[in-house]
Amino acid sequence: MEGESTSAVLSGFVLGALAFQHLNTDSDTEGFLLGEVKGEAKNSITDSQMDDVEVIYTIDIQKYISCYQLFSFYNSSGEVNEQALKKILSNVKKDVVGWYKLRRHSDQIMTFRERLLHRNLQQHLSSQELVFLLLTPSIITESCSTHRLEHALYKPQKGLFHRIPLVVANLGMSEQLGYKTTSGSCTSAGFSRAVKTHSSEFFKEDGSLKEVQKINEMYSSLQDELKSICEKVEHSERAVEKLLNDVNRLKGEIKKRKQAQLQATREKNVQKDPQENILLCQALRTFFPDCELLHSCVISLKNRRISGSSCTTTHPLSGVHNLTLMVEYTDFPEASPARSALPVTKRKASDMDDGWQFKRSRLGEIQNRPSKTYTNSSNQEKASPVSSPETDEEMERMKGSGEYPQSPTF
Amino acid sequence: MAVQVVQAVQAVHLESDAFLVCLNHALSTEKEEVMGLCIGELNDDLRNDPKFTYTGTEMRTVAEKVDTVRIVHIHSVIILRRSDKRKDRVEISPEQLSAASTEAERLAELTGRPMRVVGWYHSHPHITVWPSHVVSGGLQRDSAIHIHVSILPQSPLPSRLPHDMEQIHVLYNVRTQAMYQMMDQGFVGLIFSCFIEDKNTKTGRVLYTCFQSIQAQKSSEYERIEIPIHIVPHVTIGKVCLESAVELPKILCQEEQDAYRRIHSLTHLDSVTKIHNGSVFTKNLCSQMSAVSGPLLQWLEDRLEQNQQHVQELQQEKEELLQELSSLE
Repeated sequence: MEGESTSAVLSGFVLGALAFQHLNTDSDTEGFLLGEVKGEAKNSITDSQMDDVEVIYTIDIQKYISCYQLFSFYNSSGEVNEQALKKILSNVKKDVVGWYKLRRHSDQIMTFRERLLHRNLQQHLSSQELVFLLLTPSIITESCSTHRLEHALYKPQKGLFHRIPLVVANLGMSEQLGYKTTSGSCTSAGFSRAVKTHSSEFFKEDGSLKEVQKINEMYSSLQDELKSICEKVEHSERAVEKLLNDVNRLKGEIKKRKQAQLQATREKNVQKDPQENILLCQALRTFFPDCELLHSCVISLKNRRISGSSCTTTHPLSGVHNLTLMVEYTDFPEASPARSALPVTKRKASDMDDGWQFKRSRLGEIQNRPSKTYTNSSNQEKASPVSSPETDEEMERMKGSGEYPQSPTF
Repeated sequence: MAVQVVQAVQAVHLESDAFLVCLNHALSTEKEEVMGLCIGELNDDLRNDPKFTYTGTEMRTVAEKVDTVRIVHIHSVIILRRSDKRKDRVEISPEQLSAASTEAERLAELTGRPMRVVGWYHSHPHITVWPSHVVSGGLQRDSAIHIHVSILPQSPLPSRLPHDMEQIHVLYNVRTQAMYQMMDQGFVGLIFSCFIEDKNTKTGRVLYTCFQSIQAQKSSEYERIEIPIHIVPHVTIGKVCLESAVELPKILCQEEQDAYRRIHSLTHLDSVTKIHNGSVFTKNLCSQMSAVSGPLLQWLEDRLEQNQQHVQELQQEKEELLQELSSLE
């Protein structure tokens, strides 16, 4: 989508000079504006538009030619006197971009005559882009203490006169932090002379700037330094990487081995120091308090004989376990009177009855077997599997036959 | 009739070439306020020009009112550097005043007239000369002030300071003026308001005003009083004004050099930073050359060309008049 916009610029010195000229006359003043029109195409890419070109025209008002009298090149109808116009603009070296008028104590509106004159000037000067600068000085306080100079630039567009922005160029204009795309509009001969005198100190023969080359060279040296250090760092990174991999690998292996050793040790320790089956011990005490045979050894959780002597430790049990061990005396005729206070459920008691019958028969078998002394050596664990397997085998058989006594439930 | 307030100045007459220098200076930058001193004389002029209005005469005694009015004539101006660049801090140092007085003495010898420093001017970029409303109430820490300003027919345009900052600015201007008047009752102040643009109507404005300060009757604060100002036509530009006009780029360059020297003297800066600062200095000088030196040169060259053409025309006219005169003899 193409668009265009037009604005004008003039320096404060030109504006000041126009005001100065007006202050030195008793009447309105007018004249011509000289300068050039610059166009710049700005390409912008947005999310909605791939290619948005805007042409910005800037009318650069650089100087003026004043007419010492009003109506010096036109009549009251706004018709142009071509001869007079040629005479006024005869020595003009620049293009005429417009004309101006200073009108005292009037509104900032073009008069009818001015509009006619403008159109006629457009024809005579063959310039459709001609602009009209209207300045209206006035006194705005009764005491004459405050004065005002208002200015606006007019340009016809589609038959109507519109105002276009006029910027007074100055030192404090928004500073361009980036690169400038337009050069200054100064065409002063003295300015060009001074600049040219010192050009060779700034520019090389090929037109490039010496300062730019110097800074580029310095920058290039910095880049070389960066490249050199980068290579060194890269080498060191690889070395670190390799060593990290080695170390991590070794740590992994060590960890695995330690874990394996620990596992083996644990297994040994488990075999070495098996944990007593406290519940079994307490259950035997509870239900067979007088059967010394059942109290003759200490059994582990894995059904291994830990000790050949009876357990003398008082095992504190939790409430649940206490409840589990609470049975009625009447359900167990073989049980001691001390146990009679314990409540018992009928169902479980009947199950228990069968189970305990079996246990008694098993206990009898156990009693008939030669007892073996067990030591605390590792052989005990080895030995225990000798007896245990029998027990375990029997237990297994019983399981299979369905005669395996269930754990007493209470 | 009892005189409550004696106004020291009834009007200011500003030569148009001096006005030109002030306006050029004010329009040189919209980034900060600029200032300068006015050189001229304070006279008791005869009231003989009906188009010039005067003020404050009703305050004077009957005898004083009849024939004369106290007029400040400003013949030239001196552009000053601002030592304090803080916004709204426009102050003249004693050294500057002393240098200006020396310059005034030089002008006095040159012109044969009793020249002295008679006032000061400064610019108001993007703000109007005075806010268009009445303000009262405590703006400063200690006392309430009352500032009465003229109601401008068209309200100030956008791009202005916040309301309270403008009031503080007004107060500051009035107090500063009062301070100068303590040295010289006839000291006047000019304000040039520029770069006021209405983006809606696409019009621009430049305003200038003249004022003094008087002590308010009901408080210890100061009030602004308007002083009529008239521009005296001066078709040609005087030597002194021309010299003042071309001082502007020189002063700007000196300011930039001083700023760079201060930066460059910092010993802790590394080489890259120094090169950067050097580039900044170059950039700033280039901006000055493009925005001030170049256009000033161009204007002067155009003025020279105009004058040369005008000389030719006037020469021709003179010859014709001489011929006409000789034919009448």
